[in-house]
Amino acid sequence: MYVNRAGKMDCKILILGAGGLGCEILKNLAMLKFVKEIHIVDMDTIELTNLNRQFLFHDADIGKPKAQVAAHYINSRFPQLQVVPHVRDLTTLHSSFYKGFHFIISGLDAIEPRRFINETLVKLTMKSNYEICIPFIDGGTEGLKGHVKTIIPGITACWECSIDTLPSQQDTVPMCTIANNPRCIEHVIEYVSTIQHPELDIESTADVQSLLEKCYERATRFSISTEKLSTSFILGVIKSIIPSVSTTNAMVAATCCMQMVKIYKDLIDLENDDNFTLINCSEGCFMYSFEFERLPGCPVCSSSPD
Amino acid sequence: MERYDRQVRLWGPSGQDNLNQARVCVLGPATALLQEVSKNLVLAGISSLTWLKEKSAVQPGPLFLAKLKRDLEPLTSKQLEYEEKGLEEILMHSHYDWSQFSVIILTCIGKQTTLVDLNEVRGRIGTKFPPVLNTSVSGFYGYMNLVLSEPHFVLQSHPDNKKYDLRLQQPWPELIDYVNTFDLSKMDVVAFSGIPYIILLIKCIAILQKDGSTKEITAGRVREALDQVCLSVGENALCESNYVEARRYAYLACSQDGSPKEQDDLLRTVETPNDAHDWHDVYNYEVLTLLLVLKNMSRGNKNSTFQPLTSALPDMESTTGNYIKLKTLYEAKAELDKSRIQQSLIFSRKTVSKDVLNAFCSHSGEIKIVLPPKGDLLGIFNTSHSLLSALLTVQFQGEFIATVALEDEFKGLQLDCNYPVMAFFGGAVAQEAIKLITHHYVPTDDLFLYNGINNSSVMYKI
Repeated sequence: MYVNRAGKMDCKILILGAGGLGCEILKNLAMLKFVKEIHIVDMDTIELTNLNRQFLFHDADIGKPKAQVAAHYINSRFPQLQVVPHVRDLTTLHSSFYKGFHFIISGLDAIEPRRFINETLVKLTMKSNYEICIPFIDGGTEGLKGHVKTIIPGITACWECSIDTLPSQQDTVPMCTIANNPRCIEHVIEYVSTIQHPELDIESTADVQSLLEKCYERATRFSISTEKLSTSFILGVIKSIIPSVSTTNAMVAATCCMQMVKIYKDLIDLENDDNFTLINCSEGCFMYSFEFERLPGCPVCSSSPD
Repeated sequence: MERYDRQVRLWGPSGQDNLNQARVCVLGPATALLQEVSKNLVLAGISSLTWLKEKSAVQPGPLFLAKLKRDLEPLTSKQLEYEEKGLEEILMHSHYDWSQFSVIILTCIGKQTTLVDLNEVRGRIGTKFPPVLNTSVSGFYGYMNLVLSEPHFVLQSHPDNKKYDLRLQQPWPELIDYVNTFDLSKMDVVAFSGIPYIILLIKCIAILQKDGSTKEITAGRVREALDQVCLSVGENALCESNYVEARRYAYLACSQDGSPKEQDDLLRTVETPNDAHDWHDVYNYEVLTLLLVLKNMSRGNKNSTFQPLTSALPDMESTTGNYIKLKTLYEAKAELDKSRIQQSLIFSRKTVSKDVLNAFCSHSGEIKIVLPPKGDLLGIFNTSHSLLSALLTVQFQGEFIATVALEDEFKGLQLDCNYPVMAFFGGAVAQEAIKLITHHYVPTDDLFLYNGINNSSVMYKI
């Protein structure tokens, strides 16, 4: 059974991701007096489009590693707390690193690293026969919507148990439509970027500019409206950019941190807690939690330790 | 790519312009909640912020920003217009220009008299008083109350499932002509496979209306007609994607397009708007003006309200040529409907901005309205909700002695370590302010109650 060891000592927490959610989580934790040490992992560098929400970064920080700048911001203002940055891919860190934390909170934007950390933590619990059991709290946002999952490895549903609830990959348009019957500007962009000019690099401004011209040409040839066409629109389609704003990030990150506080302070019954929370602010403001049960045949948490 | 790219994808360049030009007033003592709201708004592009500071004897708890102005400035690329004033002094000043603010946000107000005084000012100023968001957090709980002084309109409500206005049951002459150019009996399967499902459905409806004209059109009957029509091309036609789409969307053939009931009800209740000068937000005045123009245009036609066609067409299986032609027809009709509205505007000697007119025409049918409350800023006190009354007691009397029965229910009321709850409300309240300023997405109407112990919320109208 899960024994709350964290409550007896100063708390050491790991944050995965130093983006919109990561910055918020780090700030919230820095304001809790029982948190003494925080590690933060992120391999990305700061970009201009981050600055509408990642408030620990300023214009002069563009190009610098996120984890480092975030840690420096907190360390320089709150000397009683120690923040340790790790500028690297979290999947290259060994389980001996992860097992040193009381809580792991993630604010990641991809699925694979979440699956990795989930599996690592479940294995730690299983192999140690529940001696090690690190709560993993995962937040995610998309526009004005978000979710928080609280995973007590080996006890409540793990991240993999709910993988089928993820929306299937966006509706794919058949290749023959893209090639022969394009009807909207998205079809044009898809064709130009994947078939006509796969060599163009979307990270290069000059290449994106020539993508724009090629798209314009092709759209005109098919009498497709170019009204929406711009470099920002093209990048949105190719990179499937997810809209993101400070407000949703704040709500989701806060919910992650509250889950941590409640576990630390023994305020919830972990085995029967509503471990999934949904937030949607596009019509009014809505927050709903429910218990997601463990998947009996879950490939990660139902198998015995190997 | 620019600084606001990730949020402009939510509310567009015009929404961002509104944010850049907005003036926000935060009102309350120095608290984490006030800081969090301000931080989120400045990040989103608010560049004019006024803090009317309420004196408070209560310790503020841990604050993240050491100096509000200095720490907010680097969060925007623009010059931050920041003002900090004593609230008591402003409340005594009877000519203070409250209407200059786009929205007023009350955070953790400590004295009930502040609320009473402000309510008195609001009553005096009337509809020109800005929307007020009143919010407070105690322990692991919190509330947020929106108090409007005029109706708030949302043209771009961004519904999760967009309902397209296709006019399948009421095709206009140009569309009928185009549909008739497709003679399925003289067509091979290849040509058939390039016909948009909309055209197939309009053909089916025409057939059903021709024979048993009194019978109601149902999705089932449309599907039967569809099979007959398509079989005339050949059995292989039933394997084509456009046939599959037509079957799937057959239910659209029996859903009535046109003005939704909500909007009809609204049109029935709206009064002639007074002068634009009586409105706090010209946007709301302009939308109401347009709704009244529609009402005028529909006069003499009791059955339905005139509803401009939106030019939006979903993507569907089709050749490029057929789809573009169809889209052009929808766009031309939408353009025509818009010009009819423009003429009607001229006739009634009203003007509205181009942006509002365009948004109105391209989102008609998705328009949402939030009405001002019957009560006022003190409406929250007339509550029977036990959590809200407990919150108000803690907020204004400092403590709440729970009866034994309620002890467990309110166990989070006096807990500390609640900085994240402040941060949560900082996000929620800033989001509501952004909705009010941009007129994108529907604001909370009008009370939001949060329970951080079980991660749940309720929303209801006081």
